[in-house]
Amino acid sequence: MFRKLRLRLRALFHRNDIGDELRSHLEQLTDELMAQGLPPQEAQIAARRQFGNTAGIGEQSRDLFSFRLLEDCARDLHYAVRMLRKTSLLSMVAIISLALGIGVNTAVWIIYNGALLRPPPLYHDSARLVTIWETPPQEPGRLRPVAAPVEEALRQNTDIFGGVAAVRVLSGVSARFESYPEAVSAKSITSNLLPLLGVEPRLGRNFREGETDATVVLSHRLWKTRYDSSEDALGQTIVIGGVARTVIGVMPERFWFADTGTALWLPLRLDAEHSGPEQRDLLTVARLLPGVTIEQARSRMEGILAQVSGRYPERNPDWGIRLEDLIGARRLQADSPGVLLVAGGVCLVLLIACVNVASVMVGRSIGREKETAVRAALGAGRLRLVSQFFTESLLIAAAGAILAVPVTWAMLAFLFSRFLADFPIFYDFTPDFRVIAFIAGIALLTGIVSGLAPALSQSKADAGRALQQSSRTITPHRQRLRRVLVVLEVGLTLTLIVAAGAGWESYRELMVRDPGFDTRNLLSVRLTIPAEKSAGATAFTEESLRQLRTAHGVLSAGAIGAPPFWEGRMQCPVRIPGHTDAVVPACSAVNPDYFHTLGIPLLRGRAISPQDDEQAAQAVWINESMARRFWPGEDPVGQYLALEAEGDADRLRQIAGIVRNTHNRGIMHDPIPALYIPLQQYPAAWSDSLLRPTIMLRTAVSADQLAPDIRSIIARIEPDQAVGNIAPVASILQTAADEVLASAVIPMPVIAIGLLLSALGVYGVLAFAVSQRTHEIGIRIALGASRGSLIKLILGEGLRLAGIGTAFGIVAAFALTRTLSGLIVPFESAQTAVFVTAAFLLLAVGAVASYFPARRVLRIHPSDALRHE
Amino acid sequence: MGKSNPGELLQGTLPLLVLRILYPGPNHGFAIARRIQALSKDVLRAEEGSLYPALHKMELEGWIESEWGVTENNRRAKYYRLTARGRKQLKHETERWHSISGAIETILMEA
Repeated sequence: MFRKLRLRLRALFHRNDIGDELRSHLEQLTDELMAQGLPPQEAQIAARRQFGNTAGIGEQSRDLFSFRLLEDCARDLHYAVRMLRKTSLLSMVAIISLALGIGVNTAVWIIYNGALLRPPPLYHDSARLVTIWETPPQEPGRLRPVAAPVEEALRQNTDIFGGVAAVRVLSGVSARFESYPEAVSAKSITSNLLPLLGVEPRLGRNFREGETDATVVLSHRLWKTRYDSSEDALGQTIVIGGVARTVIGVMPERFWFADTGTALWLPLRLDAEHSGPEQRDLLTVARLLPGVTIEQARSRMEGILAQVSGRYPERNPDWGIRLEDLIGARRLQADSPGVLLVAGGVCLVLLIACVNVASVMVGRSIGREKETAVRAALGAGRLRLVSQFFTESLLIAAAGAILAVPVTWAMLAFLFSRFLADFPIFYDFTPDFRVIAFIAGIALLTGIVSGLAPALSQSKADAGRALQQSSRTITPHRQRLRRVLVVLEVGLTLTLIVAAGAGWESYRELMVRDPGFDTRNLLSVRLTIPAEKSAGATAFTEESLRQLRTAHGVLSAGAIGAPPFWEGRMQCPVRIPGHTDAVVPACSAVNPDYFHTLGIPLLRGRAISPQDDEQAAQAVWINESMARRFWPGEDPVGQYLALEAEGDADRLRQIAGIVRNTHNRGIMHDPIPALYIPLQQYPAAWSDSLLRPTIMLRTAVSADQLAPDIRSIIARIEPDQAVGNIAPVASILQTAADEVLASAVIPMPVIAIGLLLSALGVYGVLAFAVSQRTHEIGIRIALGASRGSLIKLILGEGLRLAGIGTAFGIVAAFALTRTLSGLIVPFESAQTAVFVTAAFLLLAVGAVASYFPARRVLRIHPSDALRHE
Repeated sequence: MGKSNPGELLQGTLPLLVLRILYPGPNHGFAIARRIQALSKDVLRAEEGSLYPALHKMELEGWIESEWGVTENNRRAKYYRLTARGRKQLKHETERWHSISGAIETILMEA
């Protein structure tokens, strides 16, 4: 074993060993001939003639000894560079293709890496941080915040956790920076959160344990925009939720927890509260002690669960508990379908680029058959020839990878400027070694794979034959391989286009969809009532409506317990006598003027009125979908149902009327069955749902004029109630449609790149074919063929390639969109128009790409061509 | 004109011959070639194109060792020497040659 290694090493360091040996042989031969009487000169010549091919012998022996990689690599590299410069145009096609493919993929990977795979910035030693969640019954994959008893139990496990901190997401928080209260995003945190994460405040100090003063810590962004990053901010007071709080610190710039956009951080004192096991609103983070593994921590969870259930028998035993590492939890919560779509599209582009490169490599190998044959005859082993090609393709891959860097940069700049404006502050997008490894890995892989194509199709038999023929004949099966590759490319591009076209279609369709109500001059006012005031929520809402109705410019006012278009998010269990399966429609509380304000017509039964209060008989209204679904063929008006709420399950409510459908789950989806309950008759057990009423106003004037009036009216009723978004419903609709447009627009540059690559591919094959067939074309011209017919020949070939590719692509795209529309709900299957447009586009591209090589035909002089080899 | 090429036959048995020639003592490539030619009365000729690759291969296999030295004519040359393994290989190859050639002989006489 070592002998061989030793010998090889020796051969490496004494590279001229074999040469010396052969030379020594030659010298001795010369001596012998001189001894026989030949003069020295002639002896040398004779000796050499007798000796034979030094080069070949040397090469064979060297093959035995050498470290192939080390010695030949250098030689291959040198040779590869020369070859690349000779076939620069073709090489550029390959390099550019790779640069585009790799660049686009890297950009997407950087974002994925930064957003989902990396721990948040600023956390210290985040590998030891874990988060704990409760899981709802029958949904072990869904992560929900924990209740205080669970947090307490976690804290007691001091042999596993070095510390446990909790964060509560607050809603309905209003802060008064100027004269009116504004809605702000706020969280309350335990005093040990910052030390646990290893984060220090940028300014001032953290909360102290046991501190009872009313304090607040600002977010960095708030500090910058409201306080000009001035140190005077410390010590100032802000009225938050009616309480004056002193600013004691400022968070560091990129700090965030669980989500972005927190403006204020308030202290959380769990020992002062006494919330029960069913109030699940705490986000927890814990630090594992050194030496403790996640598995060990996880195995402790069952015990903790048992502890809590033992201490709090009223706890619902079907809720589970789950421990996740920080990054794992983030990935679980991330939105998948959009990511998958983008990732898929981008991979497709890389595939197309690889096909291009492979095609180029095959093309180059065709032109060099003769050279390869000569080298084989000189004694180069098959492996040497193949490694030569590999080196060339690796060189191309490396060049492509280097060029990919500015492409990545450009793609990132584009994405950030349009869609991710907020992200850079909170996610860490600086490239790390993983990204470099990714680029290098892909480049290497592409280089190897595309180098494989020509290498594999090379055989010694071909070499022999090639030597005999002149270079004007092309090995048919390799040119066919190239054609196949181009066809593949065109097909893939078509699939890309169709996919994007479908997205565009969805967008267009949205724009014409009827939301189910009159959107003109309709304002929506979002309010979030703080939990402490839930008892008076209904009264407050009604009083606000009463006063708003009298405001100047307001024609009518209605309220619903959920944001417009998204009432479908609040679903409630309902029991319909006579139905055994589960019934879970969307349900919302509405005030009597709601339907009228929105212009939702009543289809059957009676209208809702102010008489439907808590004294009257319980009545509900349903939409068409619900009627059709649960009472097909009959008239639901007059029938009964019951709400499965605590204390309400036996109270039967009568269906008083049916209203027209509205899009209650966003514009993208069809309306789901919905139930409308008069505000005054809303079950007490569900009163939390009334904390986020949306007031809808039909106005005679535009929104901007009314906004200040609205705010002051509400401030008169509740001085500290923050008023959320006041927006015309039409613009809300537009924003929703814009989001869909965004996902249709993102692929645009990617598609453009795909098209470009396909064009390059077609051009490459045709240009090459023309140059190879110059000889043949010259003959044709000499024999009388008109240039026109020859141009048509070339064009025809290009169109044929594009045509076959298009046909193949249509089939593939059709299959793809069918499967996708099953998986990803907003993906409407593409209309015929999209297919036709895409087909035309590709054929046009094919024609253009064929045009340039065809034009070259004009410049061929038959006499030159005939001499051309 | 009918002169058959002994080259092919020689190829397979070249290692055997080299091992045998190195048995008495070390020698260098040129001398080995001359010795084969001489001992076989010019019937067999070891072409440089086959001899040197064969020598290097045998060295890799461990049957012979090499060392640079000086010839009688004061020329630098690479000397090869039989190893213990080589001696074993020589015995093995010799036996094999005898059994094969014996078999061929038999067929030529009987058939």
